Amino acid sequence: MRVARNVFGKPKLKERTTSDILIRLLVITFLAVSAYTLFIRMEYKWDLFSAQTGLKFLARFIRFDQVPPKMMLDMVGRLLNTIILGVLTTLIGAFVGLVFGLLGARNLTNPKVSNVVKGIASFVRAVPTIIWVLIFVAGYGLTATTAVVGMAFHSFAFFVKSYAESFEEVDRGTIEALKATGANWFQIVFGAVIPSALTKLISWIALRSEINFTVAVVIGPAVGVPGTIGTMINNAARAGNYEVQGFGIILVFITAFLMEIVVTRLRQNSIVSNH
Amino acid sequence: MSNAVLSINNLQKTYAPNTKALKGVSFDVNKGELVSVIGPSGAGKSTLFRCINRMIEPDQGSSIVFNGLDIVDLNRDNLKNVRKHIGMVFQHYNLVYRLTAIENVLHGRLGYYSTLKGIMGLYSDEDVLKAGELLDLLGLSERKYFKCSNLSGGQKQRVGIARALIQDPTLILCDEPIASLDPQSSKVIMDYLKDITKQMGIPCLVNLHQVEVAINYSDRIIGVSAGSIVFEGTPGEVTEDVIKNIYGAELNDILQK
Repeated sequence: MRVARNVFGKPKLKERTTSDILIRLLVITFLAVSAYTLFIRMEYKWDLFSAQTGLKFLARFIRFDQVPPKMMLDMVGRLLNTIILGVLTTLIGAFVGLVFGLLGARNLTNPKVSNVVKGIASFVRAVPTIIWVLIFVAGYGLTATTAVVGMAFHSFAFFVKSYAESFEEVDRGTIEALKATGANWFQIVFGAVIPSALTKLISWIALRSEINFTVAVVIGPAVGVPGTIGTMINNAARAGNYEVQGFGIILVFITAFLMEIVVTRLRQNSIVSNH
Repeated sequence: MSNAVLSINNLQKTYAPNTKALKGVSFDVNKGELVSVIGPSGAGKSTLFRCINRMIEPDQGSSIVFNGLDIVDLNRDNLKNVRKHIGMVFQHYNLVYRLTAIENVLHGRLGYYSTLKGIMGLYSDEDVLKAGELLDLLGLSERKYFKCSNLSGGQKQRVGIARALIQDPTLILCDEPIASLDPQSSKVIMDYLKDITKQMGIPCLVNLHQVEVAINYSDRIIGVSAGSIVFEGTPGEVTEDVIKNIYGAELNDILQK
């Protein structure tokens, strides 16, 4: 007997359902809209992107020798400021997020509390960090503190979700075992839940530090927070100091790259050494 | 009064309106006794065990008298007090694998500490020494400071037993303690449980899948089928007919581990 095959020769191994048809329709619509936008709606100005101009800029970008040493030191200082802003907001978010993460974990509270906590966290997370900073700036004026509060606020919501999920992955039996010995809620949380989830919690902090560093870089020029590397890069670009701008970008790149390596290591360890 | 440590009367548990997991179970567990509960999967053995320390709430009208107190009527604080005196050993050990063996054993004492001391892990010298002694007793002297994830199945289960013993329990519930272990480790664990009942006088209620093991180690066997007790007697009284009644199959048709 012959096996039924489609146009591409792939054997038919399942019944076609409504969801298959819907997915197909969605893909076709998406492709059609993309094609329309790319080939008909867009107005291209390719002449602006001449190779000559590009090379000229690139040559100035990498002339780090023209950056005065005092400026370099100043920039490294600003970079440190930016890293500290990222880490600080992460730690504040992680600390508050830990408390609400416990309340959001289904296996530690009742479903109602969990839903409310997770719902609020989802709402906060749905709005991008920069928008939160702008909202806080509108309310409390432009200071470094406002940036910290705005960034920490979004981080907090991130931690509520990631921590709650990490807690929910803790083996039910372990919690049951401690409950059976007569331990109370706090003792179960600190005796079993947090130790079991600890490496995951730490790897979430590392991941968020990386995210918050990039946010801290962008937040300077976007909102106008002084003293960050982003503001410096922005000012240099406006003043036409391309070598300063280039040096700043390299600094940011190296930092982000190093953070990425650390985060990947941590996350791998926390997955591999599970049990 | 008899020397019953635990006296269960008409224990019922209804999950959904039409699913009755336990249909009026009654039995006693006496001091120094190892009682096995056998029966097919889904007969209600695990539900029965979890009703005893109220990890699962039994139905109204059930009665579980432990140390002269009816567990079914207790409020939360008193329930925690009762749980302190009932040790529990699990099929999957249920340890915190990132912590060391001795830390896991000490978890059995948490119920005796204030919240803050428990959180900080400020265990008394007495308890730390006791935990060490228990691990020595269970042949884990060399493994005290090992992370539990690095222990073998049999060793993990011995840590689980030590955690139950440090509670100073009046009764130990063992929910399929050897179901995940190889035959050799199973024997070691069953021998320890036997020693605990005979030498320390702590009665053990053991939920078993292996009829042969139940016959070899128990003082009394309770057969459960479809939420009811269908047999209660000494290992000598377990006949082909009894097995057939519990499992709905001949002994020869049941794979013996």
